Amino acid sequence: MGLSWATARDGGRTTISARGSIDLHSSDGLGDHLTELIDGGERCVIIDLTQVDFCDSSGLNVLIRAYKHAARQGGTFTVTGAYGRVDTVLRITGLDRFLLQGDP
Amino acid sequence: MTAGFAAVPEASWQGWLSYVAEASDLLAGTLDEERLVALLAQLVVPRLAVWCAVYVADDRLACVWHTDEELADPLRAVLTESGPPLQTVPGPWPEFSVGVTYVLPLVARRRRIGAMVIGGERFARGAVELAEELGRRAALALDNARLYAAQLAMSRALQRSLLPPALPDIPGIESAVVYEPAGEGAEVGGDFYDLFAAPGGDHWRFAVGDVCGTGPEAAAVTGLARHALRILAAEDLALADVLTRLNRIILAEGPRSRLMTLLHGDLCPGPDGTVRMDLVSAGHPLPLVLRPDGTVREAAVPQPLLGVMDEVKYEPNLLVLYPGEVMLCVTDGVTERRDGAHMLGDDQGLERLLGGCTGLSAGAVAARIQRAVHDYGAAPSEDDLAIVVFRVG
Repeated sequence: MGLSWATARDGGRTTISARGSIDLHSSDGLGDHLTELIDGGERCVIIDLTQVDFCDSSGLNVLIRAYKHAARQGGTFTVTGAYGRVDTVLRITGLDRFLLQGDP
Repeated sequence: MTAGFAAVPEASWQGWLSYVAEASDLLAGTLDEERLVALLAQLVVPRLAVWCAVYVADDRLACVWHTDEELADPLRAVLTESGPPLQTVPGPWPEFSVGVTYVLPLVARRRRIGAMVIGGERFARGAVELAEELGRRAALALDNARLYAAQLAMSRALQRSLLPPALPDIPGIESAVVYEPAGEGAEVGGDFYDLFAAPGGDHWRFAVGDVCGTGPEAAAVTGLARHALRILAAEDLALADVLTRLNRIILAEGPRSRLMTLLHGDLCPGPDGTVRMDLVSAGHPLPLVLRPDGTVREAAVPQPLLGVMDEVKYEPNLLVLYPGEVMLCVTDGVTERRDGAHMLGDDQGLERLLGGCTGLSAGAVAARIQRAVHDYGAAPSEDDLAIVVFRVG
Protein backbone atom coordinates (compact mmCIF):
# COMPACT_ATOMS: atom_id res chain seq x y z
CA MET A 1 0.00 0.00 0.00
CA GLY A 2 2.87 2.38 0.87
CA LEU A 3 2.99 5.83 2.32
CA SER A 4 3.94 9.17 0.85
CA TRP A 5 3.79 12.66 2.27
CA ALA A 6 4.16 16.31 1.35
CA THR A 7 5.34 18.97 3.73
CA ALA A 8 4.10 22.59 3.60
CA ARG A 9 5.01 25.61 5.68
CA ASP A 10 2.55 28.36 6.42
CA GLY A 11 3.73 31.05 8.79
CA GLY A 12 4.93 29.27 11.91
CA ARG A 13 3.10 26.07 11.08
CA THR A 14 4.40 22.98 9.30
CA THR A 15 1.80 20.61 7.91
CA ILE A 16 2.62 17.11 6.70
CA SER A 17 -0.06 15.71 4.43
CA ALA A 18 0.30 11.94 4.50
CA ARG A 19 -1.20 9.52 2.00
CA GLY A 20 -1.47 5.73 2.26
CA SER A 21 -0.99 3.39 5.24
CA ILE A 22 1.16 4.02 8.29
CA ASP A 23 2.28 0.53 9.25
CA LEU A 24 5.31 -1.60 10.05
CA HIS A 25 6.76 -1.02 6.58
CA SER A 26 6.29 2.73 6.39
CA SER A 27 6.31 4.08 9.94
CA ASP A 28 10.10 4.33 10.35
CA GLY A 29 10.44 6.64 7.35
CA LEU A 30 7.68 8.91 8.59
CA GLY A 31 9.16 8.87 12.08
CA ASP A 32 12.57 9.95 10.77
CA HIS A 33 10.95 12.80 8.84
CA LEU A 34 9.06 14.05 11.91
CA THR A 35 12.19 13.83 14.04
CA GLU A 36 14.13 15.88 11.50
CA LEU A 37 11.45 18.57 11.35
CA ILE A 38 11.27 18.93 15.11
CA ASP A 39 15.06 18.81 15.52
CA GLY A 40 15.24 21.39 12.73
CA GLY A 41 13.41 23.86 14.95
CA GLU A 42 9.78 23.52 13.82
CA ARG A 43 7.63 24.36 16.84
CA CYS A 44 4.15 23.73 15.48
CA VAL A 45 3.92 20.48 13.51
CA ILE A 46 0.61 19.14 12.23
CA ILE A 47 0.07 15.84 10.46
CA ASP A 48 -2.93 15.70 8.19
CA LEU A 49 -4.30 12.14 7.95
CA THR A 50 -7.19 12.93 5.59
CA GLN A 51 -5.73 10.51 3.02
CA VAL A 52 -4.50 7.85 5.41
CA ASP A 53 -6.64 4.71 5.50
CA PHE A 54 -4.82 2.71 8.18
CA CYS A 55 -2.48 3.23 11.11
CA ASP A 56 -1.23 0.24 13.11
CA SER A 57 0.54 0.15 16.48
CA SER A 58 3.93 0.98 14.96
CA GLY A 59 2.29 4.03 13.37
CA LEU A 60 0.81 5.06 16.71
CA ASN A 61 4.28 4.68 18.20
CA VAL A 62 5.63 7.17 15.65
CA LEU A 63 2.85 9.69 16.40
CA ILE A 64 3.42 9.39 20.16
CA ARG A 65 7.18 9.83 19.79
CA ALA A 66 6.68 12.94 17.69
CA TYR A 67 4.21 14.28 20.26
CA LYS A 68 6.65 13.74 23.13
CA HIS A 69 9.64 14.97 21.15
CA ALA A 70 7.82 18.19 20.20
CA ALA A 71 6.71 18.72 23.81
CA ARG A 72 10.31 18.35 25.05
CA GLN A 73 11.42 21.01 22.56
CA GLY A 74 8.67 23.35 23.74
CA GLY A 75 6.59 22.81 20.60
CA THR A 76 3.39 21.01 19.64
CA PHE A 77 2.55 18.07 17.43
CA THR A 78 -1.08 17.47 16.51
CA VAL A 79 -3.10 15.22 14.27
CA THR A 80 -5.89 16.42 12.01
CA GLY A 81 -8.19 14.90 9.42
CA ALA A 82 -8.35 11.37 10.86
CA TYR A 83 -11.41 9.46 9.67
CA GLY A 84 -12.71 5.89 9.54
CA ARG A 85 -10.25 3.30 10.86
CA VAL A 86 -7.64 5.88 11.80
CA ASP A 87 -10.16 7.91 13.77
CA THR A 88 -11.38 4.70 15.44
CA VAL A 89 -7.88 3.60 16.44
CA LEU A 90 -7.08 7.04 17.91
CA ARG A 91 -10.32 6.93 19.89
CA ILE A 92 -9.92 3.31 21.09
CA THR A 93 -6.32 3.86 22.18
CA GLY A 94 -7.27 7.04 24.04
CA LEU A 95 -4.66 8.97 22.05
CA ASP A 96 -7.31 11.37 20.74
CA ARG A 97 -7.05 13.31 23.98
CA PHE A 98 -3.35 13.98 23.39
CA LEU A 99 -3.06 14.15 19.63
CA LEU A 100 -6.23 15.73 18.35
CA GLN A 101 -6.82 19.42 18.62
CA GLY A 102 -10.18 21.05 18.02
CA ASP A 103 -8.71 23.83 15.90
CA PRO A 104 -5.80 22.58 13.77
CA MET B 1 17.39 -55.53 -6.86
CA THR B 2 20.18 -57.54 -5.35
CA ALA B 3 23.00 -56.34 -3.19
CA GLY B 4 26.64 -56.44 -4.08
CA PHE B 5 26.99 -54.36 -7.23
CA ALA B 6 29.05 -51.25 -7.63
CA ALA B 7 27.28 -47.93 -7.86
CA VAL B 8 26.86 -46.69 -11.42
CA PRO B 9 28.80 -43.52 -12.21
CA GLU B 10 27.04 -40.63 -13.93
CA ALA B 11 27.67 -40.40 -17.64
CA SER B 12 29.01 -36.86 -17.73
CA TRP B 13 30.48 -34.31 -15.40
CA GLN B 14 27.58 -31.98 -16.24
CA GLY B 15 25.30 -34.66 -14.84
CA TRP B 16 27.28 -34.73 -11.61
CA LEU B 17 27.29 -30.98 -11.38
CA SER B 18 23.53 -30.70 -11.63
CA TYR B 19 23.22 -33.60 -9.18
CA VAL B 20 25.31 -31.75 -6.58
CA ALA B 21 23.45 -28.49 -7.23
CA GLU B 22 20.08 -30.20 -6.79
CA ALA B 23 21.27 -32.00 -3.70
CA SER B 24 22.44 -28.70 -2.19
CA ASP B 25 19.05 -27.12 -2.83
CA LEU B 26 17.26 -30.04 -1.22
CA LEU B 27 19.52 -30.00 1.84
CA ALA B 28 19.21 -26.25 2.22
CA GLY B 29 15.43 -26.47 1.98
CA THR B 30 14.64 -28.07 5.29
CA LEU B 31 15.35 -27.37 8.97
CA ASP B 32 14.15 -30.74 10.20
CA GLU B 33 16.87 -33.14 11.36
CA GLU B 34 15.03 -36.38 10.59
CA ARG B 35 14.18 -35.25 7.08
CA LEU B 36 17.72 -34.04 6.41
CA VAL B 37 19.21 -37.34 7.44
CA ALA B 38 16.80 -39.32 5.26
CA LEU B 39 17.45 -36.93 2.37
CA LEU B 40 21.20 -37.35 2.63
CA ALA B 41 20.95 -41.14 2.63
CA GLN B 42 18.64 -41.12 -0.38
CA LEU B 43 20.92 -38.77 -2.28
CA VAL B 44 23.87 -41.08 -1.72
CA VAL B 45 22.11 -44.41 -2.40
CA PRO B 46 22.11 -45.80 -5.06
CA ARG B 47 24.11 -43.22 -7.03
CA LEU B 48 27.30 -43.21 -4.97
CA ALA B 49 27.09 -46.30 -2.82
CA VAL B 50 25.10 -49.47 -2.24
CA TRP B 51 24.23 -48.46 1.30
CA CYS B 52 24.55 -45.51 3.59
CA ALA B 53 24.23 -44.99 7.33
CA VAL B 54 23.99 -41.61 9.03
CA TYR B 55 24.91 -40.95 12.64
CA VAL B 56 23.89 -37.72 14.33
CA ALA B 57 24.68 -36.09 17.69
CA ASP B 58 25.80 -38.49 20.45
CA ASP B 59 26.55 -41.03 17.70
CA ARG B 60 22.91 -41.98 17.41
CA LEU B 61 22.28 -44.11 14.31
CA ALA B 62 19.59 -41.96 12.69
CA CYS B 63 19.18 -43.57 9.28
CA VAL B 64 20.13 -46.70 7.34
CA TRP B 65 19.43 -46.86 3.62
CA HIS B 66 20.17 -49.77 1.34
CA THR B 67 19.71 -50.28 -2.40
CA ASP B 68 17.93 -53.46 -1.51
CA GLU B 69 15.21 -52.45 0.95
CA GLU B 70 15.09 -55.93 2.43
CA LEU B 71 18.71 -55.66 3.48
CA ALA B 72 18.23 -52.38 5.37
CA ASP B 73 17.09 -54.04 8.60
CA PRO B 74 19.82 -56.71 8.72
CA LEU B 75 22.37 -53.99 7.98
CA ARG B 76 20.99 -51.86 10.79
CA ALA B 77 21.34 -54.83 13.15
CA VAL B 78 24.98 -55.31 12.15
CA LEU B 79 25.71 -51.61 12.52
CA THR B 80 24.03 -51.46 15.93
CA GLU B 81 26.11 -54.44 16.98
CA SER B 82 29.40 -52.91 15.85
CA GLY B 83 28.78 -49.50 17.41
CA PRO B 84 29.35 -46.11 15.79
CA PRO B 85 32.53 -45.25 13.86
CA LEU B 86 34.58 -43.06 16.15
CA GLN B 87 37.28 -41.92 13.74
CA THR B 88 37.59 -38.15 13.26
CA VAL B 89 39.18 -38.21 9.81
CA PRO B 90 37.65 -39.59 6.60
CA GLY B 91 38.74 -43.07 5.64
CA PRO B 92 37.82 -46.76 5.52
CA TRP B 93 36.22 -48.29 8.59
CA PRO B 94 38.67 -51.05 9.59
CA GLU B 95 36.42 -52.46 12.35
CA PHE B 96 33.64 -53.10 9.84
CA SER B 97 34.36 -56.12 7.69
CA VAL B 98 31.43 -56.33 5.22
CA GLY B 99 32.46 -55.18 1.73
CA VAL B 100 34.20 -51.82 1.37
CA THR B 101 33.27 -48.94 3.64
CA TYR B 102 34.17 -45.31 3.96
CA VAL B 103 33.52 -43.14 7.01
CA LEU B 104 32.92 -39.42 6.52
CA PRO B 105 32.75 -37.46 9.76
CA LEU B 106 30.08 -34.72 9.54
CA VAL B 107 31.72 -31.49 10.61
CA ALA B 108 30.01 -28.12 10.86
CA ARG B 109 31.43 -24.95 12.36
CA ARG B 110 34.54 -26.93 13.32
CA ARG B 111 32.55 -29.37 15.41
CA ARG B 112 31.97 -33.04 14.67
CA ILE B 113 28.19 -33.39 14.75
CA GLY B 114 27.95 -36.98 13.46
CA ALA B 115 29.17 -39.25 10.70
CA MET B 116 28.09 -40.77 7.43
CA VAL B 117 29.20 -44.25 6.37
CA ILE B 118 28.94 -45.44 2.81
CA GLY B 119 29.45 -49.01 1.74
CA GLY B 120 29.28 -51.46 -1.15
CA GLU B 121 31.44 -53.93 -3.08
CA ARG B 122 33.66 -51.20 -4.47
CA PHE B 123 33.26 -47.47 -5.03
CA ALA B 124 33.06 -45.91 -8.47
CA ARG B 125 35.70 -43.34 -9.30
CA GLY B 126 34.87 -40.00 -7.65
CA ALA B 127 32.06 -41.45 -5.53
CA VAL B 128 33.86 -40.92 -2.24
CA GLU B 129 34.76 -37.34 -3.13
CA LEU B 130 31.16 -36.60 -4.09
CA ALA B 131 29.85 -38.20 -0.91
CA GLU B 132 32.30 -36.06 1.00
CA GLU B 133 30.97 -32.95 -0.72
CA LEU B 134 27.37 -33.88 0.09
CA GLY B 135 28.38 -34.66 3.66
CA ARG B 136 29.86 -31.19 4.10
CA ARG B 137 26.65 -29.55 2.92
CA ALA B 138 24.45 -31.89 4.94
CA ALA B 139 26.52 -31.22 8.08
CA LEU B 140 25.94 -27.48 7.78
CA ALA B 141 22.22 -28.01 7.17
CA LEU B 142 22.04 -30.35 10.18
CA ASP B 143 23.78 -27.83 12.36
CA ASN B 144 21.37 -25.11 11.21
CA ALA B 145 18.49 -27.44 12.02
CA ARG B 146 19.91 -27.96 15.50
CA LEU B 147 20.22 -24.20 16.10
CA TYR B 148 16.71 -23.63 14.78
CA ALA B 149 15.29 -26.37 17.01
CA ALA B 150 17.02 -24.78 20.02
CA GLN B 151 15.55 -21.39 19.16
CA LEU B 152 12.10 -22.90 18.68
CA ALA B 153 12.28 -24.64 22.04
CA MET B 154 13.33 -21.41 23.74
CA SER B 155 10.57 -19.39 22.10
CA ARG B 156 7.96 -21.95 23.01
CA ALA B 157 9.11 -22.12 26.62
CA LEU B 158 9.06 -18.33 26.83
CA GLN B 159 5.64 -18.16 25.21
CA ARG B 160 4.26 -20.77 27.61
CA SER B 161 5.62 -18.85 30.58
CA LEU B 162 3.58 -15.82 29.51
CA LEU B 163 0.26 -17.65 29.55
CA PRO B 164 -1.56 -19.27 32.48
CA PRO B 165 -1.18 -23.07 32.69
CA ALA B 166 -4.96 -23.53 33.06
CA LEU B 167 -8.15 -21.54 33.47
CA PRO B 168 -9.72 -21.49 36.94
CA ASP B 169 -13.36 -22.51 37.43
CA ILE B 170 -15.58 -19.55 38.19
CA PRO B 171 -19.01 -20.33 39.65
CA GLY B 172 -21.79 -19.27 37.28
CA ILE B 173 -19.42 -18.26 34.47
CA GLU B 174 -18.27 -20.28 31.49
CA SER B 175 -14.96 -19.12 30.05
CA ALA B 176 -13.08 -19.97 26.87
CA VAL B 177 -9.80 -18.85 25.37
CA VAL B 178 -8.21 -19.05 21.93
CA TYR B 179 -4.60 -18.07 21.52
CA GLU B 180 -2.58 -18.19 18.31
CA PRO B 181 0.92 -16.75 18.02
CA ALA B 182 1.78 -15.53 14.54
CA GLY B 183 4.28 -17.18 12.23
CA GLU B 184 5.98 -20.55 12.55
CA GLY B 185 6.56 -20.39 16.26
CA ALA B 186 10.18 -19.21 16.21
CA GLU B 187 9.06 -15.74 17.35
CA VAL B 188 7.39 -14.98 20.65
CA GLY B 189 4.16 -13.10 20.12
CA GLY B 190 3.12 -9.87 21.81
CA ASP B 191 -0.43 -10.95 22.71
CA PHE B 192 -1.26 -12.49 26.06
CA TYR B 193 -4.17 -13.27 28.37
CA ASP B 194 -4.60 -14.25 31.99
CA LEU B 195 -7.41 -15.30 34.31
CA PHE B 196 -6.86 -15.87 38.02
CA ALA B 197 -8.59 -15.84 41.43
CA ALA B 198 -8.22 -12.65 43.45
CA PRO B 199 -7.79 -12.65 47.24
CA GLY B 200 -10.87 -13.56 49.25
CA GLY B 201 -11.96 -16.22 46.77
CA ASP B 202 -15.13 -14.38 45.69
CA HIS B 203 -13.81 -12.52 42.66
CA TRP B 204 -11.56 -13.19 39.68
CA ARG B 205 -9.45 -11.03 37.44
CA PHE B 206 -8.78 -11.39 33.76
CA ALA B 207 -6.52 -9.62 31.31
CA VAL B 208 -6.18 -9.54 27.53
CA GLY B 209 -3.22 -7.56 26.30
CA ASP B 210 -1.08 -6.77 23.30
CA VAL B 211 2.45 -5.44 23.48
CA CYS B 212 3.58 -3.50 20.43
CA GLY B 213 6.09 -5.60 18.52
CA THR B 214 7.21 -9.22 18.83
CA GLY B 215 10.28 -11.13 19.93
CA PRO B 216 12.11 -11.28 23.25
CA GLU B 217 11.98 -7.50 23.84
CA ALA B 218 8.18 -7.48 23.63
CA ALA B 219 8.01 -10.71 25.68
CA ALA B 220 10.00 -9.05 28.45
CA VAL B 221 7.34 -6.33 28.75
CA THR B 222 4.57 -8.94 28.58
CA GLY B 223 6.21 -10.85 31.44
CA LEU B 224 6.57 -7.67 33.46
CA ALA B 225 2.89 -6.82 32.96
CA ARG B 226 1.59 -10.30 33.67
CA HIS B 227 3.48 -10.61 36.96
CA ALA B 228 2.62 -7.04 37.97
CA LEU B 229 -1.10 -7.72 37.44
CA ARG B 230 -1.00 -10.81 39.64
CA ILE B 231 1.09 -9.22 42.38
CA LEU B 232 -0.97 -6.02 42.48
CA ALA B 233 -4.17 -8.09 42.62
CA ALA B 234 -2.74 -10.13 45.49
CA GLU B 235 -2.08 -6.82 47.27
CA ASP B 236 -5.81 -6.10 46.85
CA LEU B 237 -5.18 -2.97 44.81
CA ALA B 238 -8.35 -1.72 43.11
CA LEU B 239 -8.54 -2.56 39.40
CA ALA B 240 -8.09 0.96 38.00
CA ASP B 241 -5.21 1.63 40.41
CA VAL B 242 -3.50 -1.50 39.08
CA LEU B 243 -3.52 0.06 35.60
CA THR B 244 -2.25 3.40 36.86
CA ARG B 245 0.59 1.60 38.64
CA LEU B 246 1.38 -0.71 35.73
CA ASN B 247 1.57 2.28 33.38
CA ARG B 248 4.30 3.81 35.55
CA ILE B 249 6.11 0.49 35.87
CA ILE B 250 6.23 0.14 32.08
CA LEU B 251 7.37 3.74 31.55
CA ALA B 252 10.09 3.26 34.17
CA GLU B 253 11.68 0.74 31.78
CA GLY B 254 12.77 3.75 29.73
CA PRO B 255 14.06 2.84 26.29
CA ARG B 256 13.10 -0.80 26.86
CA SER B 257 9.45 0.08 27.45
CA ARG B 258 6.86 -0.74 24.80
CA LEU B 259 3.38 0.46 24.06
CA MET B 260 0.83 -1.92 25.42
CA THR B 261 -2.92 -2.18 25.15
CA LEU B 262 -4.68 -3.97 27.96
CA LEU B 263 -8.20 -4.92 28.84
CA HIS B 264 -8.35 -5.71 32.53
CA GLY B 265 -11.45 -6.82 34.43
CA ASP B 266 -12.57 -7.91 37.87
CA LEU B 267 -15.44 -10.42 37.84
CA CYS B 268 -17.65 -10.85 40.88
CA PRO B 269 -20.45 -13.43 40.51
CA GLY B 270 -23.50 -12.46 42.60
CA PRO B 271 -26.01 -14.71 44.42
CA ASP B 272 -28.74 -13.72 41.92
CA GLY B 273 -26.85 -15.15 38.94
CA THR B 274 -25.60 -11.80 37.63
CA VAL B 275 -21.92 -10.90 37.40
CA ARG B 276 -20.70 -7.49 38.51
CA MET B 277 -17.61 -6.40 36.72
CA ASP B 278 -15.11 -3.58 36.93
CA LEU B 279 -13.43 -3.00 33.58
CA VAL B 280 -10.64 -0.83 32.27
CA SER B 281 -9.83 -0.76 28.58
CA ALA B 282 -6.40 0.84 28.24
CA GLY B 283 -6.25 1.46 24.51
CA HIS B 284 -7.51 -2.06 23.78
CA PRO B 285 -10.21 -3.09 21.30
CA LEU B 286 -13.39 -2.66 23.34
CA PRO B 287 -15.09 -5.71 24.82
CA LEU B 288 -18.48 -6.52 23.33
CA VAL B 289 -21.51 -7.92 25.11
CA LEU B 290 -24.08 -10.09 23.33
CA ARG B 291 -27.60 -10.22 24.79
CA PRO B 292 -29.76 -13.32 24.29
CA ASP B 293 -31.90 -11.32 21.81
CA GLY B 294 -28.88 -10.89 19.48
CA THR B 295 -28.13 -7.21 20.20
CA VAL B 296 -24.50 -6.30 20.80
CA ARG B 297 -23.06 -3.37 22.74
CA GLU B 298 -19.62 -2.01 23.60
CA ALA B 299 -18.92 -2.67 27.25
CA ALA B 300 -16.30 -0.09 28.20
CA VAL B 301 -15.13 3.45 27.54
CA PRO B 302 -11.71 3.83 25.86
CA GLN B 303 -8.84 5.03 28.03
CA PRO B 304 -5.22 5.62 26.93
CA LEU B 305 -2.94 2.74 26.16
CA LEU B 306 -0.10 1.94 28.57
CA GLY B 307 3.45 3.14 28.17
CA VAL B 308 2.68 6.57 26.72
CA MET B 309 2.07 9.19 29.40
CA ASP B 310 3.11 9.15 33.01
CA GLU B 311 0.23 11.19 34.36
CA VAL B 312 -2.66 9.03 33.11
CA LYS B 313 -5.07 8.04 35.87
CA TYR B 314 -7.40 5.19 34.99
CA GLU B 315 -11.05 4.97 36.02
CA PRO B 316 -13.11 1.78 36.34
CA ASN B 317 -16.19 1.19 34.18
CA LEU B 318 -18.89 -0.76 35.96
CA LEU B 319 -20.71 -3.45 34.04
CA VAL B 320 -23.36 -5.96 35.09
CA LEU B 321 -23.71 -9.11 33.02
CA TYR B 322 -27.04 -10.97 33.20
CA PRO B 323 -27.66 -14.68 32.74
CA GLY B 324 -27.39 -15.66 29.07
CA GLU B 325 -25.15 -12.72 28.20
CA VAL B 326 -21.79 -13.27 26.53
CA MET B 327 -18.76 -11.01 26.72
CA LEU B 328 -16.16 -11.15 23.92
CA CYS B 329 -12.64 -9.77 24.32
CA VAL B 330 -10.15 -9.87 21.45
CA THR B 331 -6.81 -8.45 20.36
CA ASP B 332 -6.28 -6.53 17.14
CA GLY B 333 -5.18 -9.73 15.41
CA VAL B 334 -8.95 -10.27 15.13
CA THR B 335 -10.21 -6.77 14.29
CA GLU B 336 -7.32 -5.96 11.94
CA ARG B 337 -7.43 -9.28 10.08
CA ARG B 338 -6.99 -8.27 6.45
CA ASP B 339 -8.42 -9.30 3.14
CA GLY B 340 -6.87 -6.96 0.60
CA ALA B 341 -8.03 -3.46 1.55
CA HIS B 342 -10.71 -4.74 3.94
CA MET B 343 -10.48 -5.60 7.62
CA LEU B 344 -12.67 -7.82 9.74
CA GLY B 345 -13.41 -5.01 12.19
CA ASP B 346 -14.52 -2.52 9.49
CA ASP B 347 -18.11 -1.28 9.70
CA GLN B 348 -18.76 -3.09 12.98
CA GLY B 349 -17.78 -6.42 11.42
CA LEU B 350 -17.01 -7.98 14.80
CA GLU B 351 -20.33 -6.78 16.26
CA ARG B 352 -22.19 -8.41 13.38
CA LEU B 353 -20.21 -11.62 13.81
CA LEU B 354 -20.97 -11.77 17.53
CA GLY B 355 -24.64 -10.92 16.86
CA GLY B 356 -24.92 -14.26 15.05
CA CYS B 357 -23.66 -16.22 18.05
CA THR B 358 -26.83 -16.29 20.18
CA GLY B 359 -27.44 -19.52 22.02
CA LEU B 360 -23.83 -20.70 21.73
CA SER B 361 -21.59 -21.76 24.62
CA ALA B 362 -18.49 -19.71 25.45
CA GLY B 363 -16.29 -22.27 23.72
CA ALA B 364 -18.48 -22.31 20.60
CA VAL B 365 -18.43 -18.48 20.39
CA ALA B 366 -14.62 -18.44 20.67
CA ALA B 367 -14.34 -21.16 18.01
CA ARG B 368 -16.71 -19.34 15.67
CA ILE B 369 -14.76 -16.07 15.94
CA GLN B 370 -11.50 -17.96 15.39
CA ARG B 371 -12.87 -19.64 12.28
CA ALA B 372 -14.16 -16.33 10.96
CA VAL B 373 -10.66 -14.87 11.35
CA HIS B 374 -9.11 -17.81 9.48
CA ASP B 375 -11.69 -17.68 6.70
CA TYR B 376 -11.59 -13.89 6.33
CA GLY B 377 -8.55 -13.56 4.07
CA ALA B 378 -6.89 -15.85 1.57
CA ALA B 379 -3.40 -15.23 2.97
CA PRO B 380 -2.56 -16.58 6.43
CA SER B 381 -2.70 -14.02 9.22
CA GLU B 382 0.57 -12.24 10.08
CA ASP B 383 -0.51 -11.20 13.56
CA ASP B 384 -1.00 -12.97 16.89
CA LEU B 385 -4.50 -13.29 18.13
CA ALA B 386 -6.14 -13.84 21.48
CA ILE B 387 -9.85 -14.37 22.08
CA VAL B 388 -11.39 -14.57 25.55
CA VAL B 389 -15.10 -15.28 25.99
CA PHE B 390 -17.23 -15.30 29.15
CA ARG B 391 -20.82 -16.50 29.30
CA VAL B 392 -23.01 -16.02 32.34
CA GLY B 393 -25.27 -18.80 33.61
